Amino acid sequence: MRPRFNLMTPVDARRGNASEGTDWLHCTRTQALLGRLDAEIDRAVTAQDAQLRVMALHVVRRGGKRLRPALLMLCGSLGPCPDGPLLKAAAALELIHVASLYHDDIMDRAPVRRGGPSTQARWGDGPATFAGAYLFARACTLWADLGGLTNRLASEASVDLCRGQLGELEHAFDLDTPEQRHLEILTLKTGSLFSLPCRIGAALAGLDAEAASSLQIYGDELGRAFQLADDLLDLTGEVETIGKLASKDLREGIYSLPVLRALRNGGADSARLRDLLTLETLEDNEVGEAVAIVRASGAVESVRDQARRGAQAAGAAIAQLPDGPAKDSLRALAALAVERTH
Amino acid sequence: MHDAIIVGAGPAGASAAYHLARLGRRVLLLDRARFPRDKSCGDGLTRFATRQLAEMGVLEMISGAALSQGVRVHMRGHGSRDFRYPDDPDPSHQGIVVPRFILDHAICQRAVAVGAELWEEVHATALLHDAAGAVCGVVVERRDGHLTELHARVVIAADGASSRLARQAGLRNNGRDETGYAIRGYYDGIEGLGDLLEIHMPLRDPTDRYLLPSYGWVFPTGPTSANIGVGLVQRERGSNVREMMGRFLEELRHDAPRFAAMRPCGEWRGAALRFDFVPQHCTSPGLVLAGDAAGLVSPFTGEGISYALASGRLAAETIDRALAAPGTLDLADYPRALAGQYTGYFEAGRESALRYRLIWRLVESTFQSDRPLYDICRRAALFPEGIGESYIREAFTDVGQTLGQGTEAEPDGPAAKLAGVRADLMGVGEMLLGTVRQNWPFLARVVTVEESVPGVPLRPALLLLLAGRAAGQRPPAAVPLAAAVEMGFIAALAHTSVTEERASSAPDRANWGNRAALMVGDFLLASAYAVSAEISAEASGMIAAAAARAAEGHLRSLRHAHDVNLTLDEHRAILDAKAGTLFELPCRLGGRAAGASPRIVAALGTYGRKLGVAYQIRHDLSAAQGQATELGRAVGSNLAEGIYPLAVVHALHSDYRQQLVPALAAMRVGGSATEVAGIVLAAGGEILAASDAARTVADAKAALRNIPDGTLRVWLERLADSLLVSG
Repeated sequence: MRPRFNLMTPVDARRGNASEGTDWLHCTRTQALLGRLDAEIDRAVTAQDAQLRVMALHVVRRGGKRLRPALLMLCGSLGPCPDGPLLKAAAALELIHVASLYHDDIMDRAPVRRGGPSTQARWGDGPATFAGAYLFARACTLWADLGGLTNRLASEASVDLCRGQLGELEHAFDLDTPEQRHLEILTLKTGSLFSLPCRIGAALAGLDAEAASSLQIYGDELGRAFQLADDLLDLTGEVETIGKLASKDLREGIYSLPVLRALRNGGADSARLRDLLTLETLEDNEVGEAVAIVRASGAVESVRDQARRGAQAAGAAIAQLPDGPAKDSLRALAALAVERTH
Repeated sequence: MHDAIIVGAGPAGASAAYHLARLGRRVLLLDRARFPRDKSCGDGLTRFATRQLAEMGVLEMISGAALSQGVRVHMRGHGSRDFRYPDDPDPSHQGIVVPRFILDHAICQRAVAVGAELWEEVHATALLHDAAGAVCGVVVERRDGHLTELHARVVIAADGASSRLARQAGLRNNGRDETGYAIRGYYDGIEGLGDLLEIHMPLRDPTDRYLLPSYGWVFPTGPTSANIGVGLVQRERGSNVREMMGRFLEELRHDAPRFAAMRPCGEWRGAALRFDFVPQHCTSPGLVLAGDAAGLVSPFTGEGISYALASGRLAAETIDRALAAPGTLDLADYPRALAGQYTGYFEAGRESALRYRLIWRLVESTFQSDRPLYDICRRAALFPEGIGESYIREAFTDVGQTLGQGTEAEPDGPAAKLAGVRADLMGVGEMLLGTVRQNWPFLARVVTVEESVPGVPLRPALLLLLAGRAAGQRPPAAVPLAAAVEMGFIAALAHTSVTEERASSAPDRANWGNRAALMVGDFLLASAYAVSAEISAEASGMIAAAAARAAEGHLRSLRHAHDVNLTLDEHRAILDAKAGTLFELPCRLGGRAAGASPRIVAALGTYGRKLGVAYQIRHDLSAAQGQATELGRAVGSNLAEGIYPLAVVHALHSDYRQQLVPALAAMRVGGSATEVAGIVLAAGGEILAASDAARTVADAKAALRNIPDGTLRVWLERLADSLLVSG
């Protein structure tokens, strides 16, 4: 259940070229704005402490997909909106996202992030914790500068993101998590940072309530479809990577939708899977057996269908919006989100 | 006709009967058995239970009970930890172990003594309903099989875990998976029993491959005798509780010589345990559930008597009020009060077995850590009251006395002002509770200071409330703003609990402690932000700036870990950012929200920053002297991690540096804090730190010169002065 957005397409992640290789992005304004994002982020990281500045920016500098800033700029470009606020909001989004990556990497003990050492691998868990908190606080300052509505929307999304994570923790080792609750957690955890750029973009562009609401639906559907597709990759990738990716989540009691479905199928396989997952410590061969049961259960296919339907719903939600490069990009992104193979 | 019929004369029913009778109500208490009678139970009463028994006059009727001074928790594979009650000579402030044979009889006798009517050997088999469908009595069967209808205005079902009446009223799901089971026996011939209740968790699974949601206990009933038993939170995998009991006894005999010669006294007895407490399922028209019948049992320790007594009393008080009010009987206060008191502990009891797995991993992976969040969580998870409560009582400096000196009861006098501040603090507590309850009920016990804890805790929320008033008025958004700074404070506490994973001995195992610390910290920080965003973007901006500054301070502090060349200036700058910001923010926010001028806001900010620094210095000095502190960290663990308090930094810049450097280095490999403390003392480090604190307090008070004169300014001055005298 960990997002790995950087796996989406091969990306030239060098600084200043963040938008290169994003062949879904047809909006030249967004491309231009993305090129100015790094400078905007630099301005926001004003710590007196030189090392904190380095820590705060070291993942930002590696680029990444800048998917959320791009979403924001696309939505903001659907109406009249000056560059200044768009750039500021985009910087805040990226800072919140990177802050959450710092903390995710501590929780997951991930050594690598965006092709380089993760913050905690480089400086340690304590420093990475506070560097993440610092980034979050800086993002809040930007949101507060942007005014009441943006500030409220951003704060709600921040809480939702955390609620999603807490929800996941709360249901760790819960073999009977209801699907509806699972999807709710997905929406909070991943969807919140997909729908936030859509909502803020709509607000900054002064779109009417109807358009804003379509974009919000788009963001929610996209986020959910994206995460479902991501979870599938854990189970369906190459044999040597499956063990590594799936075993960590299975051992830590984090069950994705295909696993929950396979548990619910009934029959001997379900019972065996349940028995395996109740073990206090899973051996490698037991992880392999559990993954094989899930793969043979048909749950992978049904979840893939569900992700595709979500992507279609995302595209359908914005059908009424004015045509143009921004809308084309949003639709292309939705289609791409679920057809990834790596 | 009786006002109330109470079915079941165990602790819950007898407590309800006692309290109703004391309130002048006509009460009929029914039980199938004839007292005294035996009952399966651990017999261990927490301090919360003994205090209630003392209030009822029952405690003095029980003689010869073994006293317990706290609880020792053995975590499989992680050693043990003691949770002791603070020293207190009053027996009602201690735990006791008393067989239910004696206890239940005593409570019943007491209820009868104050006017309750007790019928024994009658079996309530069915509820009676009036035309509107409300419960209006019960059908009882006597020993001879004779059936009688008994009517009352309200019925309390205190008929135990298997509550027949609750089931009849449709107040229980029939799912058997919500039920656990416990067995106990009495044993003699044990040596070396201490004065602590022992809890072992979890029990060993025979294949050693599954995590059993379970616990075992050894509760000393005398110098060589104990009540020993096992509880299983959820019956699963065809587990056999009798076999588990046998294995637990075998393990005790095998692992600890003191149990080698133990022998049983009498038969084992077993009983179902229910953990399915849901406040909304505790009443229906004319009917109230109490004790085990309401599912009020701790899923971690199996303790239920204190909740039985408390719920009996709550039921009695609600019923008394409802009977006095005109119209239909309104019992809605009861589930509300239960929810308020036990939120986060039982509320999610339906998922207790699931939570057991998670919380076991959390408590397990942090069992040996003294980090603040884990310390609080451990107590909150294992002990929802009693030890947890006394901990909170000790931990936060009570400044109620400091503020309240010489107060008189005038309408707008200091006493009234203090009452207003206390009321706001309660509001802050409710808001904190509301924030976490829905999303992570377990946390509720971490953030709340219970109403039963007297006094005024020195926390950021208090400063905000005082600063706003000192600036001229109670700010309209005082409570949510104070709640926001409090959330930010707890968030920082959680974030400082993240432990360095690189040092971990088991790099492949998930670090549940770090996971929880980060999620809790992030959630509370985001919630602080969201609460402020509802008030104004300016408030958000102030909180965000403070959070950034504090994070920067923590980072600098971590970077200087083990740095024996840390300068006093850098140390002071770190203190300013870490500790100063914590109190500066609420003071500035309070002033700003009260509409004060920039000059006054700045003055309040300076006061707060200085106060925060002085507070931290005092705190470190108290910790060095081994006192309990709110941050919960033993000074030794701080030193071992290389976070040096001011006294140590002073000593590092003295003639004792040559001795101190190797002693500090030794602490990294398990050296003793005592040696460091000795050198720091000899070097006068503590005296120098104390004089720094005194100077900082003087600075804080000087900043107050710009604040309007009055009670509030006097209070703020006293708060600053209180940091000089304590410790």
